[in-house]
Amino acid sequence: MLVWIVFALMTVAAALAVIVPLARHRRAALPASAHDRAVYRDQLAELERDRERGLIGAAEAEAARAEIARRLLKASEAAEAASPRRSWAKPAAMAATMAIPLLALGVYASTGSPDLPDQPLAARLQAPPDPNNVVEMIARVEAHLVNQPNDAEGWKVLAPIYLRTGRVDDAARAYREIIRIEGPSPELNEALGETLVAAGEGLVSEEAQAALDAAVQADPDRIKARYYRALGLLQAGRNEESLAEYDEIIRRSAADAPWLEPVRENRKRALAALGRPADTPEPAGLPAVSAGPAAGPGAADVAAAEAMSDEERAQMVAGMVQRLADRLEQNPRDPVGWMQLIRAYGVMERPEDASAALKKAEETFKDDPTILAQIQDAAKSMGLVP
Amino acid sequence: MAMTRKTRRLTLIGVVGVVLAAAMGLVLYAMSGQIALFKTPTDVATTGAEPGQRLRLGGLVKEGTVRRGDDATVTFEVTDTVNAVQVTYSGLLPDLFREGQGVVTEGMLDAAGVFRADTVLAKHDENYMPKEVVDSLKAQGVWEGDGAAMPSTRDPAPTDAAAPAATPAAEPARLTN
Amino acid sequence: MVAEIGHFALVLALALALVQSVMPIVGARRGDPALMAAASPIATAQLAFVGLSFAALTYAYLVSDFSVANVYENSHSLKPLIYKITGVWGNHEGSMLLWVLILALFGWSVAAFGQNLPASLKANVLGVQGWITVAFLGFILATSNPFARLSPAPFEGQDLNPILQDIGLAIHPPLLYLGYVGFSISFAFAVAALIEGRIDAAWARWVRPWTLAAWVFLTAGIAMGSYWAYYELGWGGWWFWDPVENASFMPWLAGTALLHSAVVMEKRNALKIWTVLLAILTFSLSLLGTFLVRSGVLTSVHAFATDPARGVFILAILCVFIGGGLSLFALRASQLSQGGVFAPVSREGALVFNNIILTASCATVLVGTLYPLVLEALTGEKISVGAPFFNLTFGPLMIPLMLAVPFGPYLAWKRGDLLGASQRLMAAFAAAIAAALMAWYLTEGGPVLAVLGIGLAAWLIVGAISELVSRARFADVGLAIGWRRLAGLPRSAYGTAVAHAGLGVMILGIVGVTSLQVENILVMKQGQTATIGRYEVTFDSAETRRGPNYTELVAHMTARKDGVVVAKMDPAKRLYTARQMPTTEASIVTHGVSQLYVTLGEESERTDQLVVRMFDKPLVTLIWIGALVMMAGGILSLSDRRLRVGAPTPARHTPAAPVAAE
Repeated sequence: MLVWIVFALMTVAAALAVIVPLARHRRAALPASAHDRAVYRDQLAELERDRERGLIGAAEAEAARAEIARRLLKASEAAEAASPRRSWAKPAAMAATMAIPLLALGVYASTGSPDLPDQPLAARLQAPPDPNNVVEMIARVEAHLVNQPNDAEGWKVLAPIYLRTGRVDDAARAYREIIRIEGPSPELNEALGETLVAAGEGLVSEEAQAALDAAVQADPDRIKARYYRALGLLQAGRNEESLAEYDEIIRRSAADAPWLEPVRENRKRALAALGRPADTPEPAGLPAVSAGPAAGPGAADVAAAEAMSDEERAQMVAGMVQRLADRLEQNPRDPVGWMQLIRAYGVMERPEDASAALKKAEETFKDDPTILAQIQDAAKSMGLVP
Repeated sequence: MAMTRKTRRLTLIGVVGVVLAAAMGLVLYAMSGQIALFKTPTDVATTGAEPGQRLRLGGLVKEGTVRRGDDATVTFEVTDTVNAVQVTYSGLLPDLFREGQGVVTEGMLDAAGVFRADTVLAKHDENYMPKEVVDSLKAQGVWEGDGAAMPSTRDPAPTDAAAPAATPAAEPARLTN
Repeated sequence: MVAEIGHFALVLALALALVQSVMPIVGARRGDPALMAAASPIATAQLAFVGLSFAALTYAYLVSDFSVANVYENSHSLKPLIYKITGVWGNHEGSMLLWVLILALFGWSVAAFGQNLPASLKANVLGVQGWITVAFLGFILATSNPFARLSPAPFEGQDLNPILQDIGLAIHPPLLYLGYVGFSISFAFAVAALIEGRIDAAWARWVRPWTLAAWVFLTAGIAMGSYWAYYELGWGGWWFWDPVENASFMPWLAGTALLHSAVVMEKRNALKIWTVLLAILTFSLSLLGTFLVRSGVLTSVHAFATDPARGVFILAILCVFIGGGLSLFALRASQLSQGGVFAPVSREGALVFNNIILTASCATVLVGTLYPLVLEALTGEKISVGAPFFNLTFGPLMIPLMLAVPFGPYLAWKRGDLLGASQRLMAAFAAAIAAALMAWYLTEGGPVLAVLGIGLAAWLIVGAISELVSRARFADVGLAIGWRRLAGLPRSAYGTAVAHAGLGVMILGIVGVTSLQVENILVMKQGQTATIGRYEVTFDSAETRRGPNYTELVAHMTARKDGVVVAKMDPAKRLYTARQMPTTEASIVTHGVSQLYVTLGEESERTDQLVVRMFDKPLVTLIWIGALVMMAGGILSLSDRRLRVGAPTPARHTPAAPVAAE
């Protein structure tokens, strides 16, 4: 309500800026020739000053004086402006009074969002948090960490969320901060190494390798760290060491561990790099977990943790996708959202949902060929044929 | 001494004519020698280019081809995913020069078919793709829209390390009413 | 609510602009004093509302209100305060709002300082300003609304392009816009004169201060932009003939021509048609610049927007104003009377020569900038027109102009004495020869370009100074009176001399850096020392550092000259984390007017070994000092009393008609 009162006052001020000068009684303006004469008199005076100081020669000054005098004379002869007819001040004022509010409200009605309050960040951070909004939670923790950069707990909350939301570099930064505050531990080094590998799009950097080395050294049962370490060794051309590391993983894993599949795959590549046959025998592993209780607790923990985090992430992604779908249901004119949704369904291997989403998006934007083409491109890139 | 109005006018027209002719001449001369045509690696491969002719070669920096010499000389290949051209360049690479990213190089081909670049451009925006490169990639049918990178030829990270592919919650809706 | 108030203020400003674009012009047509007089208060209200709108947007940036889409897209809560403020115009929408704010500011200035203008001219000028305001406010509200809202609001912004997080950004665009938009006043005056069908020497006197002010701002903006690119992009260049640079340079060339032709018109009532045409063309080039930058036709650091709707809208504005202005010109030009006559060798002749060369060189820049665009549109063939083209066309055209500049002020109006002027320029000629010989000796027979260029610079500088000295006539009247005469010279005379000398200073810098610069690119190991020009640079160490929103690799270096430590240098390679964007931070040491410029190449895995690029740039700062001197000349000229003609007083109040109030 307040906002409309302010708008009304502003409109009145704008209208007054037009009406008041119109209403004021006006003398007829001086004719333009009077202004011209002022200029020419000034030019004459200037010429006189220059002449007195000897800046121009006498003959030159005389010629210039004659020329300006001619202009002055011409200006004096100029016909005076025709006396004004009846002033249009009143109709003009009335028209302006009508036009300004109508125009302003008309334009504003189509572009403005009068009901939306300001949302300064500081005020929003003081309001009670919404536990369902991940982005908001991140912002709150970040704001807290700006003031308390040594709060390891804060970084620990952030790191996995960053990783899940695709902000891998921030995740790596968060792990570095935790290590800085708490000192290194095998878990942290492993997490940092893994994050850095993700940030490098699969490339194991020197920093990542160092973190992984430290993790494996402190805790030989860190299978994940070993896995990336082996990958890094392979990338660095240290094939012999890489193969040794893969063998070590197999040695420390239960025979039915879920990660053995990719490990064997990569081991073959190490063998190929060394020029050895792909079926070079591998060392014996630990007995399968289902076969008995002999499985190493470390390995089992890793498996459990991995299963958990996988499921968790799947749930998380599914939740986010669902929210996006709901939002598009309510507000379908959002091409970027549709493209994200189609891609997300594609990644999650839900082709029916993807096709349905594509159909809805095509329906929504059937009048806009550019957006339509973009959305179809996105669908094509996910292997959906429109 | 006193010139008539006509001779004055003629003088003025003469001066204007001379200056305009000089400007035109300079423009035409400069156009013939100093303008670089834009070519893609496929253009170079199919139609070729005379060694010594100034060219702009645009495309993507092919993954895994960047090699640095000891004396700040860099060699890499520019590709439009169909053909590739070897480029050598001596100097500082721009901030956003990366493998798999769009790039425009300017220079000329030598007799061996290696492109000797004196300028390498990769603009100051992380999503920037030189316009010519976008157009040529589109023409090759390999453009994937909104900044999609080239398919990576690197070792794929195991699935549990790959960044989540979709982060849909990030972009809020714009109010349109 | 603040954001919505800003939005509503913008809408009200549009409504007021519509009134302003109709009412005063109708008033002037009918001779209705009330309608004409309303223009000034409306222009003032216009400024108030646009200012309120701009303040509201600034507030949204300051408090990080991410419910405003523009703030979300271009700000970040952790950004330092100064960049929150400058971020307001560091993006398309905000910079267009700044454009309109400056337009409103100029409109208000005409209203406030234009008491000396005839009522009908003032009304028409403000009316034309109103058209421009309507066009650009319409553009903002229709395609680039800075007050578009987001719901739900995000909690963090996407940050400003780090390359734009620099103090140079705080100053460069506003100055440039003050220049661009300032020429809108010259345009409005020209169109108003055409509407009235009346134009004379008095008009030139009224329009000149506005043109001069716009020219000073544009000079400052271009120089600032050039220096910013020089130290921020890390390429070591100060001018790239980038289309966006050309877009600001073309109005400058046309504006410089306008400034000179307006002098002829004011003094001699000649060149009227040409001056009006130049005024229209100058603003047209400003609009063209805005179009090129905003439409996404060009891809460049500056191109914020690549939205076709925006391009089409600006193109429409461009067509209406340029087409409309030129049609009106074609319609009315024949009615304008011819002015005074002059011999080819005369002050007028010299100024005409200046105009011919400046417009011809402006045309070559225009051709070089638009040719690739037109060619691609027509044939699909892609070419690039770069620095070699412009150096080859623009450079040679400038040489005769530079040679002619010192002659101009020596020539009398109407009919000049070329021989006499040459004799009086003997001192300058001798100085030029001496400077060239000295350059030849110092560079040990160095590049011809350097020798000739330094001679040319000396010719300009000494020529400008000797003109002042010869006006004082020390030889005829003795030292004491000579000094008095020198002090008594009008400021505009000083303005001319200072601006021309500034041109010489700038040329000295350009020649120095283009022909005497030494460049070296090499791989340096820790502890290694490299020689670059007159300096030895040692790479001491390197480290990785963390800034508020970036990480950087810094190299610590020591620069020595003849074994004495001159400076510690820390060039760096930064990575801005939010956008994963690397930037190069050059380290620059200024020594006298020369600079040592060091940047780092791309990061290698080893921090004890780096690719380093070093320049020894002699005289380089003179380029920008020269621009400052030119601006000082413009300001001196602007402060001349003769540009401030008083308003006439109604006769019945002062029966003894006075000479113009001063």
